[in-house]
Amino acid sequence: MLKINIDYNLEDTVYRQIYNQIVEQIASSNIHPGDKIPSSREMAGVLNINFHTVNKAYQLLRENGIIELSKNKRYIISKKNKTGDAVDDFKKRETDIINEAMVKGLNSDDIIKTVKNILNLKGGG
Amino acid sequence: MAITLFTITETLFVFIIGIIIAMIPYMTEKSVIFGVRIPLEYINSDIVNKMKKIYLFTVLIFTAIFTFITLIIPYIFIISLMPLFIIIAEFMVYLPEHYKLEKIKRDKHWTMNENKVTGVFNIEKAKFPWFFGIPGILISVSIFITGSLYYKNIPHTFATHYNANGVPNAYSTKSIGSVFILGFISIVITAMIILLAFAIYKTSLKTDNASPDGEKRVMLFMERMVYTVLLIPAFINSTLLISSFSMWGILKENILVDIIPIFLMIILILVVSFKTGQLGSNIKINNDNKVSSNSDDDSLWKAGVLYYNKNDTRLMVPKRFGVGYTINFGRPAGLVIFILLISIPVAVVIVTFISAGII
Repeated sequence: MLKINIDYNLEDTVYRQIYNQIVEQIASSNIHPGDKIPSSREMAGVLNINFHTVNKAYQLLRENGIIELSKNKRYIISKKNKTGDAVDDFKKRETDIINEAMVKGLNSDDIIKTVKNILNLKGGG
Repeated sequence: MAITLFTITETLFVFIIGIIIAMIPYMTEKSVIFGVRIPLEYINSDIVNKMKKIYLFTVLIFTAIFTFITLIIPYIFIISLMPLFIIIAEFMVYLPEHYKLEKIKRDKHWTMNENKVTGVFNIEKAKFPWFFGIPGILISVSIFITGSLYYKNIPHTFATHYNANGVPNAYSTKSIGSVFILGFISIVITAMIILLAFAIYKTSLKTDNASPDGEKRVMLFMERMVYTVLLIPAFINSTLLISSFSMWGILKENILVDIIPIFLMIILILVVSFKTGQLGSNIKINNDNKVSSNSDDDSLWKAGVLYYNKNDTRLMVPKRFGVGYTINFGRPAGLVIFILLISIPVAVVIVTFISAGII
């Protein structure tokens, strides 16, 4: 079961919210590699939003290798494969976030504790 | 004219329909009152509670009147249309309440401040619960098995229809088609209902954020709808089996026995509907997760009951006033299904009337 929650009071754009929630639910094993995700028109219809918005989220997910087109032209969740690219990408993006956190006054203990908390919530240890 | 069994069963039908309609406001999504989406803080307001009570009492009075009329009226034709009349009459009670609340919402500026929308998409590769459809299929098959075994004992001409007093008034000559006519009907009905259950299983849903744990509720709601719909052929086919038996002379024709499975089915649907509520609103979940408002979707609903949304790919959506699903009139395919669903009972009623010699 895929759950998408759009909150118009948040600053995040709608397509970002869709993107983040799909990623979040893959990470927490709520949805699994190989699962078909709803078509952009179907999701847009249920949520009463423009399907171009959903397409934008799907496009970004595809570019980042999180979903892929299956043979029958439906998007499915990609298989996990820890490539060198994925590690480099993670390192690059994490550097920006850690730098920003340190500027705002967090020390390395705070950061490690937060990361561990997030990982524990996912049940990944 | 003496009160016939037909009058008694129709009276009971009218009474049950009336009670179901009276209870609808207590089974809908928590944030949808008389087909109007209202903000969280007004769900239990005095205005809303008073409107629900007025509706309940008006409908109960109508039900009492219609039940009484059905019992005393001597015309079979009118009696058989009474269930339809009570549905129309009680819809007339709903409409003013709907427009009144719509006006209150507009005039008092009940706006959705916490604008949120949550969709639940069933993407798991979990198996469709076919096995719930097995009782219905088995009963359908047993019509053909008993019919084949008993075939040589069936008289050359046999009664196929009885009037309201249980006297035969239509006959058929023995042939595969005439002997197994109810069996063939049961195959068509069973196939259509299983298809419907599958469509429900595939339909994505939007939660009601005014109930805590909305997504857990909609999943339970969807599951229970699928189970219940898959069990329906078991009841309908039982009635067809009993009718076949009386047609073949195995059992004596008795309208009361014929409709027992149908009444059991109505009771099952009633209990599931009330215990579950629309989108699971009546399910007891021990959780005080916070609730939030929904986004305003009134514009997609005409009079709060007809869903018209060309941008929604779904052919069926959950009803706003009642428990279960309705058609998306914005989709041509939805319209086709609607006409099919309507034409079946209409055809059955017309055929019954013609064979009973009423028209």
